[in-house]
Amino acid sequence: MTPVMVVDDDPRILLTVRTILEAEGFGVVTARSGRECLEALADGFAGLVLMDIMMPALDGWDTVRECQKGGYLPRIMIVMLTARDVPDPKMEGLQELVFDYITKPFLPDELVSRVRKYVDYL
Amino acid sequence: MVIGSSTGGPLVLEQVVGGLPRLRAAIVIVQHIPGHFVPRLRDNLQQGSAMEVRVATDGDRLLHGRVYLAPSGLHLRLGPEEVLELVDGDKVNYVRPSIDVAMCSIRAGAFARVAGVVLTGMGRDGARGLAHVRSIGGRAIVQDPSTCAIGSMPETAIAENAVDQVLTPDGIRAWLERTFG
Repeated sequence: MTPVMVVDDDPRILLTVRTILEAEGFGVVTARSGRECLEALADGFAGLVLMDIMMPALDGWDTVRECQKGGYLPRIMIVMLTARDVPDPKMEGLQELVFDYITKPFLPDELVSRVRKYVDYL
Repeated sequence: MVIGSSTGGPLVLEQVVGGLPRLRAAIVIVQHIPGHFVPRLRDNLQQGSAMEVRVATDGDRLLHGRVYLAPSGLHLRLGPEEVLELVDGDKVNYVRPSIDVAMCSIRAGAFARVAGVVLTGMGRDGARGLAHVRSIGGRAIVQDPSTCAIGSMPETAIAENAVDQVLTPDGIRAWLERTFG
């Protein structure tokens, strides 16, 4: 099954998402920062990336830009995890790189249903 | 008709356009998406549909019963003689293909009926295009922002008074089938 990487500085979110998806048979990798995400990509990760936006140092948008610079986009799908859906000027120019948004908090069934649809594209 | 969509759009497009009966309309879709996902989106929209769904190529003639999906990296325009044009050029609203470019290329009187639909997405692409569609007598519809993954594209169009109707994805599909079925 297509692997999933969860990128979030909140360990509770990492644990929650990992537990939900692993129970459904997904292989889950976690990253506590944008930098850790990029390291996993440099190590060859390919699959779905669920990316938090609000992270210290390298935030989600900066990490998306780094994914583009690193040439990782052809082997991943990026879905942003966000606690808010208000427009953010930092989004501009990234519309074509990000597949979808999931707003936190989310219901486990909804998360699983959406992840199944996303991995159908990979 | 032209449907424009951005972040969160593929799953909504599957809901709105996937598995449609054959309609008396040509549907052009501009979706902001990494290019490597376009073939899968085409396949998913084709599944169970009586419409022929294809990735648009330069020179395609618009025919009823077909869905034309814009490829990544080029602007799509509706040229003379109901022929699609794929053109290079600067990004518009930070994107290429741009919904505004596609909708604003529709010439007044070129088609019996015209409609523009803007679905979920971030940014403001599509607002100018919908205003153009209205100015030439077409119908301008947006997805209800409360049903969007991110609603700034339809919200911008609503704020700029460029919209005739605000509908849910199921409502847009029902409108399509009722109007062109």
